[in-house]
Amino acid sequence: MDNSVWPLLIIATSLIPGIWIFFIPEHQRFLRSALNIGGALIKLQLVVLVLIGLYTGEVYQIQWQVLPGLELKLRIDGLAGLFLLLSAFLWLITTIYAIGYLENSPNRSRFFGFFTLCVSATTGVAMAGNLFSFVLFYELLTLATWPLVVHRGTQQAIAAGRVYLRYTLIGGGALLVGTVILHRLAGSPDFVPGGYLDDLAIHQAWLWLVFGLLIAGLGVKAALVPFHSWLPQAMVAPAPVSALLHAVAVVKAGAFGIVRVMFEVYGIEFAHGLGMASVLLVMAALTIIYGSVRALFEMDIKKRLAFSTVSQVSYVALGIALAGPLGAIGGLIHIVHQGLMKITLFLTAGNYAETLGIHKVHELSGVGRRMPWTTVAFTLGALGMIGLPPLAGFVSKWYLGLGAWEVGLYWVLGVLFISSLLNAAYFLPLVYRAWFGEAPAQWPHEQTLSTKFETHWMLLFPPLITAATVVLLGVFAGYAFTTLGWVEWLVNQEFNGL
Amino acid sequence: MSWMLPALVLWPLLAATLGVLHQKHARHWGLVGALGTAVLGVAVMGLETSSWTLGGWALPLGIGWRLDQLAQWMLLIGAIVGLFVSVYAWLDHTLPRAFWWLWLGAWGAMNALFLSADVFNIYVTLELLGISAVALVAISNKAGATQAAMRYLLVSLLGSMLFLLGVALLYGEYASLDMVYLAQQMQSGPVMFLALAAMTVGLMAKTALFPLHAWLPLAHGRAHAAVSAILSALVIKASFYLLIRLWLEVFAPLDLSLAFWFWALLGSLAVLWGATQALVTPSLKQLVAWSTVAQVGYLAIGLALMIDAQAQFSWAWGLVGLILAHALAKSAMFLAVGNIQQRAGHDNLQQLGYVLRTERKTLFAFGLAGVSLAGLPISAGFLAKWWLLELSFDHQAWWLFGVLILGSLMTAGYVLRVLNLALTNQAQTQSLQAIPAGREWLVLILASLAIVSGLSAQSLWGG
Amino acid sequence: MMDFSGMLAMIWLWPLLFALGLAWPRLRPYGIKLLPWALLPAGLLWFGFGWQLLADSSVTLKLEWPNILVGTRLNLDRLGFVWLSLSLIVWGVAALHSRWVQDVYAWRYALFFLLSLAGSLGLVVAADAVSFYLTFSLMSLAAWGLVIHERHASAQRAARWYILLAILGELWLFVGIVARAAELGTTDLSIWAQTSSAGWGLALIWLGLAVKIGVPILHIWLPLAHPAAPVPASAVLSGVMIKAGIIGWWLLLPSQAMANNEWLWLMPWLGVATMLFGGVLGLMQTDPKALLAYSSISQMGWLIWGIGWVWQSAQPEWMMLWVAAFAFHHALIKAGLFLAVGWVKFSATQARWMPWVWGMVILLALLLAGLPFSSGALLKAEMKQVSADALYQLPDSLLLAGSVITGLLMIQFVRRLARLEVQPKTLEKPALISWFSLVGLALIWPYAFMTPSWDNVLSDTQPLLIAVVFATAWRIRVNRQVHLAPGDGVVWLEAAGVKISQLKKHQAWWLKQQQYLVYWRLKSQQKLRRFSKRIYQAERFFLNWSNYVTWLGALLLLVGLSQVF
Repeated sequence: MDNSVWPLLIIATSLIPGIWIFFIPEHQRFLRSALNIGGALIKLQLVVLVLIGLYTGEVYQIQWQVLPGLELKLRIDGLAGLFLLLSAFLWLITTIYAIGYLENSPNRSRFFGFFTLCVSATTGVAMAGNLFSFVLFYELLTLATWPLVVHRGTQQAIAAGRVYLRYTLIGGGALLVGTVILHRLAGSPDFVPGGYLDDLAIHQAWLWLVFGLLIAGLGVKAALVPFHSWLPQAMVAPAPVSALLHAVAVVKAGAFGIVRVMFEVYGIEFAHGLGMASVLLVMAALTIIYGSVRALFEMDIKKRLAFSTVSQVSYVALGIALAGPLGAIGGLIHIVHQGLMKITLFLTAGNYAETLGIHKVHELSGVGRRMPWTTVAFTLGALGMIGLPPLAGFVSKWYLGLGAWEVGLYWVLGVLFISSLLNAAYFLPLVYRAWFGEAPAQWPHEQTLSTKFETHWMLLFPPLITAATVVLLGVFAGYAFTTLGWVEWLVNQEFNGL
Repeated sequence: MSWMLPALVLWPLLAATLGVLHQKHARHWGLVGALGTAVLGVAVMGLETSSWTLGGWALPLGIGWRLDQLAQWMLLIGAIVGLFVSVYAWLDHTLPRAFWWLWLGAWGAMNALFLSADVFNIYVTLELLGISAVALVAISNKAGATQAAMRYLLVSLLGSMLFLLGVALLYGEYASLDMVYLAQQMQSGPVMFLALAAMTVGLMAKTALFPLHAWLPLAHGRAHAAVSAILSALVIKASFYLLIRLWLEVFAPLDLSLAFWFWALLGSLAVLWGATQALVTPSLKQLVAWSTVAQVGYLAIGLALMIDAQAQFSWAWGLVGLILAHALAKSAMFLAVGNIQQRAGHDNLQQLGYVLRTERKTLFAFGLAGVSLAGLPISAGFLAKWWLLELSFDHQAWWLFGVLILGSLMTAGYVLRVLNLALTNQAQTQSLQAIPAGREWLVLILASLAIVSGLSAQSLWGG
Repeated sequence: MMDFSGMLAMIWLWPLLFALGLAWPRLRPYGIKLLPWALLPAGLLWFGFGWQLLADSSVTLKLEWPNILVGTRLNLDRLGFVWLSLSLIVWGVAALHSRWVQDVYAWRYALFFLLSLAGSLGLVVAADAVSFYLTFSLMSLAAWGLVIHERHASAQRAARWYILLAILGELWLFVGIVARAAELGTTDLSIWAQTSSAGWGLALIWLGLAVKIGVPILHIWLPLAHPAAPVPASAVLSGVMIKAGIIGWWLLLPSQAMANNEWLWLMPWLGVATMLFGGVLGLMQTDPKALLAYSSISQMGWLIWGIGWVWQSAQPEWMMLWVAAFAFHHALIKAGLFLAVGWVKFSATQARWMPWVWGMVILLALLLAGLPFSSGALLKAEMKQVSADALYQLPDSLLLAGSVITGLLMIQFVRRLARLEVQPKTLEKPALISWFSLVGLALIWPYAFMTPSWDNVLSDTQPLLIAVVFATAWRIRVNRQVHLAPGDGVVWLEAAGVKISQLKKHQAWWLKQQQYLVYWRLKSQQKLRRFSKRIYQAERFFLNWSNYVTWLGALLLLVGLSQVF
């Protein structure tokens, strides 16, 4: 098969089921689920095949011109592979979860249609081969996610959706303007490790302007302070949506975009030389601290998790902005690791809400006995977030720390320190309550979803699987097939040898 | 001259005549006429570009036809939109028979307008087009439709008169009507500027460019959905097409550098005013109509950016792209609104929540069209907006960046006013009318075209 | 010779496996009973490696897993063997005593016991910084479950402070380790031992571990946590875990290259300060377990002092064995003492055994206080001797004061123990035997390595005598208990915390802000609605015919006249 077909196939595996699902009548549960899961499985398989191909040096790309000098390009490189695998894997997990979660609720066809479109857009973001294509899919993602955020249709959901769009569309506008200007200054060549701007004699003011616009645009999705406010509000969405939003789709697309811009448009050394990396670094650091502090004061579980995302996603930007290979490794692996940990947390939070009606921190008391496995997964996710070994979060933090030292930015270690401390402060009380609190006589809103397990199996297994990966990716970090191995390979390309 | 060109004009007129004669089956004759015209309109794309004189009126008087790329594209856009609207109308039994006569007549006149190579011919077809458009509005049984049609009629006549004045001035100066010839002879002078001013303002009124837009929301808001689609997607474009011809061809040799500001400012104001109104209007159809006012602003901005001598003419495909994007999206949107309106029996935004939720395909189509209108990727509208942004960069017109982005955001805002409703949990308050399922599909396909054409835009500049 | 290197991993993976097993509810009732078996591989390794050591004292076991975490290395040498021994003994005895824990959550106790056991054994064999950090955190965090086990208010409070400082310490440690790893480019501790790096990285590692050791000011959690835990857990907390900080200092800091460190002079002084500080504060305690906890702080002073001169020495590795020996000594006795509290408390009705129990208590107290010819006295004397050539010397009187205060503490301990309220429980024979054996071992082990001589008897008796005299004098002249709540500084911190949280003004201000926000939102919504309406009506202007025509004319003029300009 021609290699150029692969990117299209990967998009098609979610796009076609997605569009099809829209037109499936509400009651045809089986067909819808089959399409969903079938598409997800095929996609995962394709992605794995492509990754193996990448490793053996195959090139997967396809492009066509849309305007003079402007190409829409899909290309799977190492970085794309990383993001693709993450999204394909988490999509499968979340789809299973969502089918269980939304059982018997209205508007499922609409939900799964957009859910699937959202993943198509995410894979597009991953595979975009130049800035123009990136912007294209990035905006698509905004649109595909909005109906999911508002899915519940309540006043609160609608308001959250409005805020979400207000932020992301304005951000998208900034990104678009930045991209257009850059296109007129430098064309829209492919992303290339090391960037393509340093050889062109472009005035610094332009570079700064474009940088500001791009970072503002990407920062909205990546929830960098001060562009973060939409994220905690968007948590009114159903749990699988929040999970996907926080772990891979929206927030990660922003972070991923920052990686692309810093590494493959500007080139990290060039950006560092101009001082842009430092700006990003300070922003990321502020966000990390701010998000953690806010999380501390949130008494709604999902909101707390949302602020935690604000904080944790900025680790990615932080790692990139450190402008050294080790920091870059830390940032890039955190794309995956944060995704896995946060999806675990959101799925388990969803389990609590769905099974027992638990939404607030204080209601968690004693839930560990009622839902032990869910709570185990939650605990692993939380401990991973704090960065305890041997969980995946530790590996990220370890490399971020090494990276900070490597470039001599010692204060960043202080940021990591404070952030970890705050992470512990807002996660451990939850874990403590869950395991050690006194269970109430009656749960807020208990539903019997299963006679065999503590909750519906479709709700139980997804977080367990992701929690297991959190452990595995940490323990076996040294192997070449884990995130760390892959990312080291990637970073080698950017920095031309460690 | 290929037989197709006269057929483009005569075939719809013939079908309309047969419809008049055979009133019982006007609907079917209408469809036959429309299908034939559409096929012809597409087929014309394959013809060689050339020009012909009519009735022996050779240069210097020069009355004749011409087929160039711009005309081909306009014919194609007319064919696509016309086809969809016609099939839609065929499925809509509430339309009076007169619709078909008028619509086919208008289509024929419009095709003739695109083919005309001389300003007088253009005036005649413009007048015909205007009258049938007004009549199309008037056949609506909605309250206030007659009033709106009257207003439209007055504006249309005023516009045509001004255009005719321009034609007369041109003829008086150069004793010629042929546009190519006029362009070659064009010399600066007060009379020319008067001609330019008269024709421009006349066409502006017909195009409904701010501040001469007031008739449009009334007319488009009160007409039948199919009629509104025609008016917004095609009729307005015909007069805008003439503006392109005048400014980029006939009067191009004049020093028009200041005109950049004229068009850009008016366009920006149109974008902002139209979008603001669309954000506050209480009725769905009005909302879409106001959106047209805003989109005309984009066209004006595009024209402004093209006037500057620095811009290469090869970039003009962008204007066509802009027209195409808007034509497809807006017709899809109006037809979608037609579905919803008919199903609910009203178009009061606040009470449409339930209907919107049940009409999944229509709503989806509305959303897709909205995406293209707002210039969000991946759509024809996005590429058009990208083109505008690139040109603004070349002109160093930074403020236009702001207008374009703000306009896009506001567009997204009013589209979301509608989509938002669909996601609320509003309960059913009234019984719904049935509409043919085919109409839903039709709208969906048309809206998808607005998206897909973004991916194949390279054919616009022959790539 | 058998290769035991695989056992290096087994000793801590095995208890983890047990812990995993507890996930299965059917196994839970057996959790406590299974605890001793969790030490099986450790015991095997101990025997096997001990055998090898007898043949060749420089033998080292090594195990490398380059792909686990960021590269895992484990090893065991002489020093590690001493630490393994003390851990094995204390954990073993504590495991047998765990049958005292009989509540419904016993399996949970077992779980945390196993987890912290795994960490505690793991850090002995850790030979790279990350596995040390991993096992150290595992131990610290899991021990939290032991502290909170009894769940009454004081346990919860203790657990809160425990976890707060444990995490703080761990993060200091983490940042320090990261800094050092980044600078040295490796996590291999054998390289770390020989290479110094930036001062503040070292300082952070030092601080992080100092929390565990209970260095004054960072000690506040310790007198709360050690007494709050169930008795056997207190035994391991004070007997083993507290010493993880010492071996951590040794392993993570550049122990072979410390001699030139400019801060080194502080260490002996800090050691003495800790001795006295812990002692004095301990005397103000009435709860025997809290008193023992302060005594542990005080005894850690000896180890701090010890490691202070080890670092100055030219042969730190050999000198460290003395510190290890002292750690061994303290581990056995302190574990014995904590268990003694349990025996007195739980078996008071077993009249037949009481004299034996009390006999053991007094013996242990004397051993700790430095009874001549016992391990305490011998080791202190030896340590003073080998440290004689150290660079930074301290006045002997200070060390004497340290010994005296230990004696006073033990007197106070025995008196307080006698007043303990009793809660009879069934007698656990294996536990009792293990305790007796522990005490016996504590009594006799030094004679395997050292020969006591009569030369020092006088100076050895000195501190004990002074202590007795002082205690008697105090009893006769003052006879008053100066009281200090356990955790000393915690009390002030908590009071301050309550004060801050009670500041009503802040709450009112905050509420007002939120109300204002709601009001402002409503107001702006209204405004927006009114504005929308006005905009909507503004279109009338353009609808007006005369305006329309005026516009038309104006535009005509504009385009027409544009040529004039």
